[in-house]
Amino acid sequence: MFLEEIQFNHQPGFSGDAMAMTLNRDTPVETPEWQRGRPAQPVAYVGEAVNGGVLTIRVRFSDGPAGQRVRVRALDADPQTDLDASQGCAALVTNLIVGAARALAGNALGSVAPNEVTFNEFGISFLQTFTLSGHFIRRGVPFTKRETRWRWQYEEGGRWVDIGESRHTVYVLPFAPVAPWNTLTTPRVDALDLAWEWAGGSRTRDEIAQRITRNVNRLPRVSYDPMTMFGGNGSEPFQLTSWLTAMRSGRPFQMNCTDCANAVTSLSNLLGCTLSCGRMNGTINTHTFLPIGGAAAVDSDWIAFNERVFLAWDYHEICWLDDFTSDRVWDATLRLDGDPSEDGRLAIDPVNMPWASRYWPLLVEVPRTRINERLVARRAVI
Amino acid sequence: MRMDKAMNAIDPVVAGARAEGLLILGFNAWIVAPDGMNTPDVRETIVPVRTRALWADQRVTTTELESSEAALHSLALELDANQLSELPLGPTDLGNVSFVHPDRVAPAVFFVRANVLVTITSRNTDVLPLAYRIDAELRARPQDNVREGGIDLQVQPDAKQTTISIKPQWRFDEGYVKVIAKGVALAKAGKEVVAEGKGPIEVFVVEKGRETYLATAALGTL
Repeated sequence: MFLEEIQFNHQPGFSGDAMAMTLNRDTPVETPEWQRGRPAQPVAYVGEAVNGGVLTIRVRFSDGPAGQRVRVRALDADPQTDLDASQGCAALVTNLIVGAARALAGNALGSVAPNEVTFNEFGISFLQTFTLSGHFIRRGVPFTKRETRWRWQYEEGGRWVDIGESRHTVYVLPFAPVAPWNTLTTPRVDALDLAWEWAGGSRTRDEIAQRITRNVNRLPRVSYDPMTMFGGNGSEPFQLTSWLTAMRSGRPFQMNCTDCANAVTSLSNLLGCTLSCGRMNGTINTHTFLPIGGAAAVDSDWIAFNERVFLAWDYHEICWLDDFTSDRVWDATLRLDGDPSEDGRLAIDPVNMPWASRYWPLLVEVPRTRINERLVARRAVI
Repeated sequence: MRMDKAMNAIDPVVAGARAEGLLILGFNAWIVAPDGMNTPDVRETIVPVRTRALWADQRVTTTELESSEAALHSLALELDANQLSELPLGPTDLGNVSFVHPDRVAPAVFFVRANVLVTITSRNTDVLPLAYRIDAELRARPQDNVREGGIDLQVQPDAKQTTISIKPQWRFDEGYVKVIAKGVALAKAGKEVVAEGKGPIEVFVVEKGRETYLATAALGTL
């Protein structure tokens, strides 16, 4: 008997199965995500949506007994997860440790409960629905990327016979993606991989947004430029693919506030945050700040855009919680100077910062700054 | 730089750009290399009409619009995505109009030639030499190694304008089409070109390393 294909995303929504995704801008994750003889495609689940409920997959087999029904199952192929609490205290303790470890790493999908598969006269089965047992997809789960290895078996004469193994890369998101994802843009694996690198293990939205903001701000080889480099003016989409290419190129590249706001919003909202890019148009005379790519200890890296010394900004764009009605902001473009003295410098990350009482007075000369217009956006991603 | 401010500087050149009678089809950001370079570190197609090339520290983005008017409008939109409150005009002999970054920030130039918007940014390399090379490529009438033929050119006049169908007879991946009709307003319309005005039209298919092909016709209305 052969395992032919496994479908993880087989129904609308993602409360009982995997989420629809694309690998990148151009390549969808195709269903079935696993096919015999082809590279497996990644799958993703949303902890909050599944919340420990029933998860199903659809599976097809070939070369089975013609016209017969056979029971099939798949075990978690990681040996430490097959422990049984009835084996005594040591096993019980080990199970607790394994359980805790599985909350952070290892197989998240558990095993595949046995079910009957019917084969036609050519020994080929239809797609059969199987239920996952012992999965760890539930509310409160941290953002993780895991490997699942299943050992498939069929029952013959009262014993289980191995069919083969399947391996799967599984992302577990704590929360459902928020716009632009699932509205304008299908969630992307290349974005998830970067988010995993930066915010893996995060359990809360605040932690996700904070870690992503800091990581964008500390990107190597990046420097500040007042020009938007990766799209996103007005309703133009954010050029995520191009930004990822720039990061991987090994070459220096530049970002401005719109680029940073788009990057943080896109990656954070992919993991369920509710950030928006908020653009303030007007005449913005800043205090001295440390732009993205600057070194806090290098005095000349601290700059200001101010009519007194050079030019003001015509606009600035940052991430807002929800929209302008909230008072919470994140800004990866810069670090503020938190030292009240003239000469001292204290670099502060604007993450989850109150806008009115803290962020804005630290960034700008309030009496000499005028905001004429505010625009808010969650831009599509290309 | 606010769009209205940019348009104040752009508006005076719109009529001249229209009368230039130049239209470019299929131009890519990597067609012109900086002096001494051959292959970009990165080449990307952002969307079919927008391409980007990275040459060491210089990042070139080209956007092909329907017409020179659309390209100039797009330039103003592009500048609206620049945080600086003022951008100086660039050299008057660069593009139909150009803007540059002031001295205290990283070098950048933004210019339009015909229906192509070109942006070059860098961390600390002078971007003007490459800008001039690209502009020269865009505006020049090919002279060397030009041969008539190789292009199916069909001209269909009506009462208001002429519709031009251009079909090169071979596939080319790295080349582009240049349409020249002095004093005629040219614009892309789907897969075709529309022209408002009368006079001769020249269509070139330009590809580095190959001879340039040429087709000609006369434009007019019924």
